Amino acid sequence: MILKILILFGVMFALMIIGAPIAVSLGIATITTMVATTNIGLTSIATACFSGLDSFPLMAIPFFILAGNLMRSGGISRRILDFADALVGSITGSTGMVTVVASMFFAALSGSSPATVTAIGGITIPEMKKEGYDPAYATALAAAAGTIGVIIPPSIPFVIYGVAAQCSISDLFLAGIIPGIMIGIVLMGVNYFTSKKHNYGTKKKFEAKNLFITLRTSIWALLVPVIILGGIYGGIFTPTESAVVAIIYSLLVGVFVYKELDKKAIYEALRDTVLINGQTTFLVGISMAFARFLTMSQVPTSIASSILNISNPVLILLVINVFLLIVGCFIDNISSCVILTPILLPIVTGIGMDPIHFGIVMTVNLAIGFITPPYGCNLFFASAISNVPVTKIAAKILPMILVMIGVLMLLTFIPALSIGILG
Amino acid sequence: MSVLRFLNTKLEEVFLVILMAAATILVFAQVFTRYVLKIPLPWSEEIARYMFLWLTWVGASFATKERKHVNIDVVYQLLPQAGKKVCTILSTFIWIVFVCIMAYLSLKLTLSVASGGQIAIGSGVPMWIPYASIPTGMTLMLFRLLQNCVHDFRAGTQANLEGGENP
Repeated sequence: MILKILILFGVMFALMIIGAPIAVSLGIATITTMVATTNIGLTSIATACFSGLDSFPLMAIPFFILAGNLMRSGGISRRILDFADALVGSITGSTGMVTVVASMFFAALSGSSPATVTAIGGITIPEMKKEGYDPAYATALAAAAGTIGVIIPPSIPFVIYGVAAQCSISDLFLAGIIPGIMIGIVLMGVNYFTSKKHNYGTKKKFEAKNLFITLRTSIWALLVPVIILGGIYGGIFTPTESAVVAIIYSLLVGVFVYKELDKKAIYEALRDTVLINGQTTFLVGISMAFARFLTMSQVPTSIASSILNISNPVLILLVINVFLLIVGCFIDNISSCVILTPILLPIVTGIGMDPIHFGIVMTVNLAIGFITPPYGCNLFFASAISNVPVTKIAAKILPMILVMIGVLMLLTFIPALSIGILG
Repeated sequence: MSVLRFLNTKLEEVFLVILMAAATILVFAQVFTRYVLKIPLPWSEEIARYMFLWLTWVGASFATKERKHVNIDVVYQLLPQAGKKVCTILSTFIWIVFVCIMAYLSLKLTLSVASGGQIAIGSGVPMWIPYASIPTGMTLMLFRLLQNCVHDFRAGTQANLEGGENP
């Protein structure tokens, strides 16, 4: 057993270090270990790749990516920004506040964290620079606010966790609402104090009239979460179908109401979607083959039983959180979610934790992984927008990581914050 | 010639864009007929899943062509030029080996499914069609990988030649 684990993870890390694609590293590690330590036929890898992806819930991934792309190019994200500006633009640290609040709204439309950074940060980072914010700070704030994209529903990581843990994606979506709002609030807090100290932002007056006008033009955008969540919880459609309804809705709004979507923009949105989907779901498929091999070799159960023997629940939860945060610094969230869920879930259910609750804890952990260097997707996307190198952003993002870890601790030890809403 | 060029630059892209649009329409039709017309389609979800498999495996080849596959280059970036070269060659070689193994295994699987004559329950689609997405995607990926290699090799020798001319 130990030999098997050593070969599996040894080969995986060795290949990752030399820069092979993560999917290839996982695949070769699985194949090598199977050949070296078992006599299971290799065809089972192909079978696992097929059956793992032969899943309607996972189809939500390309659909939510497409919905997000259409909303960005169809003018929906800009209207959300206008509304957020009228709502919180008068508070200290104005555009920073707008970045966080608009990210929260966009999170309710889109299921991806880098997409939120691009849609909102793409507009607000240059604006904050103009207003005299430290560019590194502005970039860090947009990157951190983007993590809310995967906490407030809909959320692609929740879809992946739901499939990996075999629990309800709809419940995960509901349970993510309050944690997402909490992260938004603490980030606004960080922005408030930083802006006060450095005198960031412009002085604007709050105008109710302005709020009303922007509400009227952005109402089409603000209706999207009502449709998605209302449809799912009204029993009208599944999460995957809700993504498709969101696509059709944003097409209609983009073409007929805002008139910003033309044929070329729609084609670009589709092209971008199939490209990101090819990269994402291929990785999901190979990760599933890897995870299935782990489960077949009973690695998860033996790890679980050895951990459950030694410690008390609080300690176990702390260790798991620290472990996930470290993993998040180095590995992307998709493969870690698919691979670690079968390993960690038996441990936490062993100490009586609800699988939905753990899904929230794990996803918030991996969301923090989006902004922890050296490997942090949001950092890369935000850095591409502002041209500030990742190393400089990293220094400014530390306080935001710390407050998010604070939220994570609350979520870990107070289950009511996430699953309380499920009743 | 222009047909070949089109296949080279656009094959995966056009195939995937059409498939993605079709899948969106199909799933929307599924919701519409079930919720509005109250006539559930027994086959739509199954076909959508098979489209998704094709989107994934051919998409993986498209992502290879566009060099979009996720890797971790933290250590790689710290290496000297020679080390980077060795790592690139080694990881590309391993990638090619992986793709060949996957293509072989999935082709074997597809052929055995085809000879079993299995048919999908809801839609009546022969089961080898969704299975064939994996060998097709992997073969295309192998082709794209080799293309990338040739391209990099040419760019490399070009850079060496230019370096030689302007010492």
